Amino acid sequence: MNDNIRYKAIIIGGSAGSFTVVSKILSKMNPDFPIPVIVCMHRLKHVRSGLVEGLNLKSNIKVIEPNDKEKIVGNRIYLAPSNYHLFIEFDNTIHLSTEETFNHSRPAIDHAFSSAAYAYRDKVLGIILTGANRDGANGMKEIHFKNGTTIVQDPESCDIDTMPKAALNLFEPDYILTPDKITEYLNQLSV
Amino acid sequence: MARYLSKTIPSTSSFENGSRNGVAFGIKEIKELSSYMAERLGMPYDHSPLSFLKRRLSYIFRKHNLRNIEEFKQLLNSDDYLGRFHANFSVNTTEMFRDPGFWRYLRTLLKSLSISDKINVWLPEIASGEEVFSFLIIIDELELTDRFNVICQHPSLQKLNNIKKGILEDKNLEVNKSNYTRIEGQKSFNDYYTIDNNRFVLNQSLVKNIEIVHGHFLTVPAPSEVGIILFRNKMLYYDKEISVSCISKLISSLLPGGVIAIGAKEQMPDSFESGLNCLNIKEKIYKKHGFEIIWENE
Repeated sequence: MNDNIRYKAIIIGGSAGSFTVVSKILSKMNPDFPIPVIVCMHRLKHVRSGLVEGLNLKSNIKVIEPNDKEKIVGNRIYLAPSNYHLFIEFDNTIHLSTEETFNHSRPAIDHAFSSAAYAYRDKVLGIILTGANRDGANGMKEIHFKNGTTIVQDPESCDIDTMPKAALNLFEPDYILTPDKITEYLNQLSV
Repeated sequence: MARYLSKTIPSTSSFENGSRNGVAFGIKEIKELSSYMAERLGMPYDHSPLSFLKRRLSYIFRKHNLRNIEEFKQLLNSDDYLGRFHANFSVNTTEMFRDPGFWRYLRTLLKSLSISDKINVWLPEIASGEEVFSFLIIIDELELTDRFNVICQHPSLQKLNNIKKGILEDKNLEVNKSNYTRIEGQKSFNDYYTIDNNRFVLNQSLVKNIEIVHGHFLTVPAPSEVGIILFRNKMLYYDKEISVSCISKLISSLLPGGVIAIGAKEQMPDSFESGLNCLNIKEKIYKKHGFEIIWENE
């Protein structure tokens, strides 16, 4: 079976230093990439604008900050808004929440990953990038346990490798890749 | 070079279990529990997002060491527990002056308000004091405190009593102060509160016009002649059907020319757009058509 049929969504999480990596990946992705991509990055909660605009300058695919209850569709990048947790609902919509911070974060990457694991099971690809804390590691483990595919950024290519190493301490991912190889992997999905 | 490793770890996901004490929450169990909650409490808990129900139920099961669904039902059957259930289940407001741009805009709007009679302000589902205390500080600085009657409503009397006393459950002083700086308030934030038993207590002169109403706003009559409704980030926890019911009830109680605010990432249901003017699309502030409430600079 073709891999691009296998995935209902790709979810990417990152913290310190990840903006550059996400920008780089999005700038090299095929413009007609068919699978929705959900990006959850730690960000300043009082700064609501700037990040999505910055990513759109680089990205080949339209990046939006979704509203609550928005339907998830292909060829779109969904960026978790500041000061909201982002969850995937079972009906393939975005659910935002102002619940308590988790891992000192809102949005929390663990929340986003875990909900994607639960909603999509083996039909999700989770990618964890550079970052300075452990948020996201448990969520990646959830994806792994649900037989989703997991990619951890190669710690040697990270600005700060705490987040990828935290994930590697919990489970064995399917792939450990540099940002260039992550892009290469994604683009072969849309061939 | 890509490295492929086979999955050898057994599936024991804590998220799937929904709780770390071994209670399994599949979709079927969540639906059963939420239907029971809706029936027992007469509130639309069966219209909440499943992922939200799963998290809140997991929290309650852990908090009370519940081992199965029957134990949860027994707990809900205790009248003594019901008030605490609402307190445990609801989501507090995150911080004072959340979205400073919203408060700056609202302040400008309030400055332009032409007031003859006292105006009712309604916060229909308010689980903690951050939002209403922010409003009270804004109108204090505009010297309009006595022109507003502020109605706070929630199913938890415990939550309402804290609000009426000016108490914040979570101090969050650093964030609240930082947001106050961002709205460019007139005073020092420290002037507005004291710390009593390690709790934030808003100055009592500010809370004197708070009226509390016990009950879920969809299940009891709405206050009449409301000029301003703050309903930010409440529809996040309902599905589209109940969100429409919420907005319908709120707009019905709003005076012509009155203003309603929803959360920055919430969507006003299409069916209401024709009866409203959007005053600020970024902050999702809408004005009901008509002129009983007059905004001079609008």
